[in-house]
Amino acid sequence: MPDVRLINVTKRFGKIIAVDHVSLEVSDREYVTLLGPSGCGKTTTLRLIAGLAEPDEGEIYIGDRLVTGLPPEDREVGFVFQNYALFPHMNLWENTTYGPRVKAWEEEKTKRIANEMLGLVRLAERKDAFPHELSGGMQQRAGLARALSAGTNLLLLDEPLGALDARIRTELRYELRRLVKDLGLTAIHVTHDQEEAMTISDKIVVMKRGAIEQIGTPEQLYLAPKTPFIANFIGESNFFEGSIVKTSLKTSIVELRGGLLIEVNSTEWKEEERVIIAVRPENIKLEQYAPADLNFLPGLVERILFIGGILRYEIRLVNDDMVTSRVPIETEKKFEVGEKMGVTLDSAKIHVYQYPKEGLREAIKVE
Amino acid sequence: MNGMPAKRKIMAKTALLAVLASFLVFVLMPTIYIVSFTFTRWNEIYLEVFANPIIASENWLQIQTVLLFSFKIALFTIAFDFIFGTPLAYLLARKKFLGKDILEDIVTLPLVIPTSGFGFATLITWTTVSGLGGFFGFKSGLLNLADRIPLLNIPFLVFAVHVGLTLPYVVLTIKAKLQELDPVFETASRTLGAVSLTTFRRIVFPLALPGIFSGLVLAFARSLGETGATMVVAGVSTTASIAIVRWVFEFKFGTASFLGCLLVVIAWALILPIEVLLRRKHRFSISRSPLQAMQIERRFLSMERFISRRFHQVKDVTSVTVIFVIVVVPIVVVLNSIFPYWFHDPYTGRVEGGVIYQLFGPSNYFGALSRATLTSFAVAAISTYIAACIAIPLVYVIERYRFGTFIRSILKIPLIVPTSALGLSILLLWGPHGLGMVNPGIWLIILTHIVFSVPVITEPTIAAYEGSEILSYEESARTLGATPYDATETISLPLLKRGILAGVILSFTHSLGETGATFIVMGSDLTVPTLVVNMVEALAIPAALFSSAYLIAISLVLLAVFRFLTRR
Repeated sequence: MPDVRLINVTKRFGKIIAVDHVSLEVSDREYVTLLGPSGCGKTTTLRLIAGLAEPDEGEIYIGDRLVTGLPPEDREVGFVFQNYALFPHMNLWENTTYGPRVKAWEEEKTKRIANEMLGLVRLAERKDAFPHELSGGMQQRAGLARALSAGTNLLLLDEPLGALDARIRTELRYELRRLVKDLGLTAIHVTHDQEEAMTISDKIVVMKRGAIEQIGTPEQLYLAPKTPFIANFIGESNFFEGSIVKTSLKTSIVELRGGLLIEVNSTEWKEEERVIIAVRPENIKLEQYAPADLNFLPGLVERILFIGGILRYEIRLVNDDMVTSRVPIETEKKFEVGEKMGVTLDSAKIHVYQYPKEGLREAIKVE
Repeated sequence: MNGMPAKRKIMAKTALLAVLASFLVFVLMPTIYIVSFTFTRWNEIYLEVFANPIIASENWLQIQTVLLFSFKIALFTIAFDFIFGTPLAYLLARKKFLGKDILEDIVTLPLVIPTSGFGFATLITWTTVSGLGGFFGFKSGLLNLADRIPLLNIPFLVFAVHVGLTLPYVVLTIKAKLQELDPVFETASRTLGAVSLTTFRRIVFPLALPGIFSGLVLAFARSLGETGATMVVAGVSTTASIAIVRWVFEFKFGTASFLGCLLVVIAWALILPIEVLLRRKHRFSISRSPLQAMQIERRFLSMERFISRRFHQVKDVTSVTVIFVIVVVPIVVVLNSIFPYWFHDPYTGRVEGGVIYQLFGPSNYFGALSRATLTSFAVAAISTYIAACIAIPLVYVIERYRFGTFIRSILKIPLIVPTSALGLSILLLWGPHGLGMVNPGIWLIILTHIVFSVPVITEPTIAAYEGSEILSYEESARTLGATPYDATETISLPLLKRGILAGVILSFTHSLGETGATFIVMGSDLTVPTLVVNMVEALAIPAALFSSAYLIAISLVLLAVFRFLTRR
C-alpha cells in the first residue's frame, strides 16, 4: 500500500510552473529523497504534500485518504524545517510536547511519547534548555523529536541538514535514517546535496524544472543515468560531443572532435546522428602512449590533485577536450605533469545520449 | 595639509552642537517647559488649584474628573483597537490580496487627516440625516450628539473619533512586529496540529508581545492627548485635553498648566520604558502549572478549533468593516455632502442653509476662509522648512553617534504629548507670560508646528537611510578618498532625497490639519482647522462642511503623492 501518492500534481506561481504534472508513489516505510538543484520544485512538492500549499491540478493521497484541500493541521504529517523553527519562547520540553498538547492528548500519553522521542535523539537531559542555548545539530534533533512526538507515520524533511556544518551533517545523516527505520516511518526528504541523497535513500527522485527526470535507487541512478543532467548531477561525468559514423549489430562507432574514435555498446543510433558520450572518472584508465584505432585518446597530463586516498588527473587530450580521471593512490603506474600519454575507455561503461536540443551546457546546468 | 583636518574637525563639532542646540530649543524644550513652569510657579498653581480662596480645591476635583474620564475613554479605545486592529495587522503583514495597498492607505489615513475635519465628518455621519441616517432611510441622524455607549457610558462620537485616530498606531506597530516575525513558526505550529487561532494564542501573540504592547501604549497616549477632533464632537463632555483649551480661554492658567504638566509627564512615563523595552530582545517564557492549565487549555482548544473552522473569515470581514465605517464613511459623507448643500439646505430649501450663502452672504466666511487658508499654508510651509533644516542634520547625528538611539526615542514624545498641552507649553515659554518674545499669532503657531514636524520628517528619512545601502556606499566613497562630509553630500543626500521628500510632504499635510495646539497659540490668526471648530460652534454647518471637505481633499491629494513616493 503506497503511503503517499501524487497524481498529476501541478502548481503554478503566476507564469512560473513550479511543479509540472508530477506523479509519484512512495511506499510504506520507504525513505525517499527528492533531489535536484534550486528551483527544481522539490520543496514546493513537499509543501504540497504537507498542505502548506494547494495544487492547481492533481490529487494527493496519504494512506488512502485524499488530502488535497485539507489544511496542514488535519493531515497528520511531521515536518522538519531547514532552520529548525523551534519556538524561541518555549524550552525543549514545551516544544516537544506542543503537538500532543494542541491535540489535547492525555497527560500520561504526552509525557511518555515526548520522553521517548527526546531519548531517541539523545536530548533527554536538555529538556529545560531554550533553543538559543543549543547548537545547530542539537536544535535539528530537537526539531525532529518535536515532529515525531506529534504522532505521525509520515515524516517530511525540508533540507533538514542544510544549515549545519559539514561534519555534523554527515553524522546526523546516518542518525536520521536509523531513527526513521527503527520507528518504521515513511520519510520524504528534500535536498540538493547528491551525496546526502545517495547515502540515506532507499529511492531517489531527481527533479529538474518542476518535472521528474528519473526515479531509482542510488545505484541505478549512478550506474544508469537516463539523461546527461543526471550523469552530471549525480557523481561526476566526463562529457564528449560527437557523431555516429558507423553502426553494426552490437556496437556503434562515435567520432569525437579531432577525429578520435570511440566504440560504444549502444546500437539504437542512426549514422551522422549527434550524440553526447558520458564516462565517469573512475572508468577512465590511464595508459602509456600507444596509439590505437579505437578507444584510445592521446593527451598530456595537465594537473594532478591529491584528494585523500585518490589521485585526480586532469588530462588535456590532443583534440583539446579535458578529461578527469580518478585513480586510487596505491596504483603502481603513476604519471607526471606534462607527460605524454593516453586514456582508454571501457565500452561497457560508456553512456550515450542524444544530443540535447538546448545544447549540452544548458542541459546539464545546475541553475 | 595639517591645518585642514583640524579645521574640518572644528567645523564638524560646531555643526553637531548647532544641530543639537536647535533640537533642544525648538523641539525638546517646548515639550518639557510646561513641567518646569509648574515647578517654578508652584506656589501660584497650588493656590489656584488646591487652595483656591473662592472655590477651595474645586479645580483639583475638576482635574481629577476630566483625567479619569480621559483614562476611561483611552482604555476602552485601546481594547477595541486590539480586538479589531490585530486581524488587520495580520492581514497586512502576512497575506497578499487585491487592494492590500489601498487597505494600508486607509489605515494610515487618520494619521494625516486634519483632526477637526475628521471630527466634523464623524459628527455629520452619525448625527445628521446627510450621513448614515439618511442612507438607511431615516428622517434624522442615527444618533444624537450626547448619546453614550450603553454599559461603558462613554459618548459614542468621542469613542468613534478616538478609535479612528488611534487605530493606525496599533495596526502599524503590530504589523511591523509581525513582519519581523518569521512565518515559519506559525507554519511549524500548524504542521504539529494547531488550528490558526491556537497558533495565534500560543505562538504569535507571545512572540509579538513587545510590538503589541508598544502599539497599545502609543495608542493610549495618543487618545489621552487627542484634542482637535474631540473638540468638535464632545458636546458637553470634557476630556482632559479639551479642558486645557477651555481653561486657557478662561485664563485659568494655573489649572490648565498643572493638568498639562500631568499629561506631559504621563506621556513621557509611558513612552520611555516602551522604547527601552523595544530595544532589548526579550525571551518570553510563559510558564504555567501543567495540570490545571490543561483543563482550561482543552476548552480553549476545542473552541478555537470550532471558531477557526467556521469563522475565520468573519474576523477579517469585521475588522475591515470597522475601519471602513469609522474612517472611510465619514470622509465619503463629507466630500459627498457638499453637493446637496451647495445652494441651499436640501431639507428645508432655505438659501441661508446653503454653502454659497454662508460663504458669500452676511457672515462672509469666504473672507475668513481665504485668510485662514493663507495662514495655514504659510504656517505649514515655513514650519516644515525650518523643521527640515533641523531634522535632516539630526538624522545624520542619529545614525552616526551612539546616543542617536536615545534621541530617536525622545523624538516620539512630541507626537504623543497632548497637543493642547503642547500649545500651552509654547505659549508659556515664548509668549507674553514667559520670555515675552512672541505674541500669540502666526509666528507662535509656526514655533508650535516645528515641534511635531521635526519627528514627522526624521522617521521616513531614517527609514530611507536604513532601508538603503547608504552605509556601504558611503564606505566605498571613503575608500576612494572622500571625506565623511563629502560622502554625505555627494552620496547619501541624493539617495535620501526620496525619504526626505516623503517626510516633508507628511509634515506639511500634518501641519495643515493640526488643531489642538494651534487653537491655544493662534491669537487672532485662524488656520482652516481651527476655523472649522469655530464654525461648528457658531452652528454654521454648511460653511464647516465646505471647509472640512476642502481641507480633507487637500490632505488626500498630498497623501497620494506621499504614497507614490514611498512605493518605489
